[in-house]
Amino acid sequence: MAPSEKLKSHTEKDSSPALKRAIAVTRWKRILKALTVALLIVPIGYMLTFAYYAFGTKSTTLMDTASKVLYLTEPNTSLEEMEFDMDFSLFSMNLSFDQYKQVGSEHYPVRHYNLHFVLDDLVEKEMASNLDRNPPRYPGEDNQWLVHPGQVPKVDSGQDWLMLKGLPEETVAEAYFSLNDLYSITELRKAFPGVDVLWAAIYTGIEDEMLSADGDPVSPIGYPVQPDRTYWSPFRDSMSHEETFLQLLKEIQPYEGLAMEVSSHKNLALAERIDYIETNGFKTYGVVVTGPKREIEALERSDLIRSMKLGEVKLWNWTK
Amino acid sequence: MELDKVKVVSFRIIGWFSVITGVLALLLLNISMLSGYDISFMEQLSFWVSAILISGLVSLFGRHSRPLGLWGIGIALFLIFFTGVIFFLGWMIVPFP
Repeated sequence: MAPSEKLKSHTEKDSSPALKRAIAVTRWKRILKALTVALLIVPIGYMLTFAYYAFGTKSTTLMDTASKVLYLTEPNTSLEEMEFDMDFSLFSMNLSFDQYKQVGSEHYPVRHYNLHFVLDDLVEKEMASNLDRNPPRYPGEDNQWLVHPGQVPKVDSGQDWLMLKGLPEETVAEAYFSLNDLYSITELRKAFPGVDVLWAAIYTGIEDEMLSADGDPVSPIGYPVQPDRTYWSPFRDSMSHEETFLQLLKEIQPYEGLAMEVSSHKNLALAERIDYIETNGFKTYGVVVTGPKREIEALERSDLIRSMKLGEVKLWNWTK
Repeated sequence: MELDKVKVVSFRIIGWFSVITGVLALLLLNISMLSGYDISFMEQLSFWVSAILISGLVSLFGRHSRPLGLWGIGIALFLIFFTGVIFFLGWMIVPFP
């Protein structure tokens, strides 16, 4: 066969329908293979994300740290972990929950938190507040509602007592009392009849100047005083809230950076505070109380109270 | 002879059905995860997996369609594995009932 004829026969073969179909099939197989591999990336990413939050930094550790630090740094706080909303997306987790305050005998939602973590790094914190009277966003040296006896209170206590007096009798209120000295919680509960002592700020050796050993500004920390039966509370079934408080401080210490970002505090200085409490025990310099307006008003005459800041006020719900 | 050709073509069509259904299932899974919404696909996952698996198994009987069958079965097994892992780990990382 002449070379030109050979070429002609080859070309005819190449353009045969069977070959064309085979080429098309091969092309489609390649496309679908690439598509299959590409579509596996996101599901595998999700499995790795879930594995990270199950075996790496656990999602429950992040949730518990956020929960515990709010109990210890935000006066009169409770959270309902059953209502925590946890969403996962690629290599990230979103945690949203409500914070409650007890005013009178009832708990009211006061803040909504939305925390966004990329792996274990808190990258975004949103907080929406329903509070009528917002405490300072970054409690520091000059604007505290609970003040150590060694410091000059900056809150206008007289004005707040006047506001309290002007409230109708059928109201309940939350009040922040700064004390004249350091007291034990038992002493205070006896000294304040007719109201519930809700939260006590504990002296940890640095509140007289509100500066850590490194010179960083710190804020009050403390614990809820009333028995807490809710089963998600870290203080549930606690025989001693003081010991539970110390235990929680130790538990959040490995995650101090995260705890600090979740709270409104600029510094927690946990190591030196834990050392001080372990050596010197638990004394309070300020408490948060709630009760009927007239019962709180009656405490104006108490020798223990140095200054008062009025918190939330609600219509009568007192059931004691 | 004609019957053999029909058999080959049928197995090949079933194999392609298995692969294309598998890729479509993966695509819907991606959409479901990236959108962040529970679309109805997740509820029908067992139906999709069954369809991919059965057609994949059938196409294993044809010599030419066997690679397609294995491909489809691979996707179905991945979907089963994915569902199991997400269910088990989801149970570990979300502490609520």
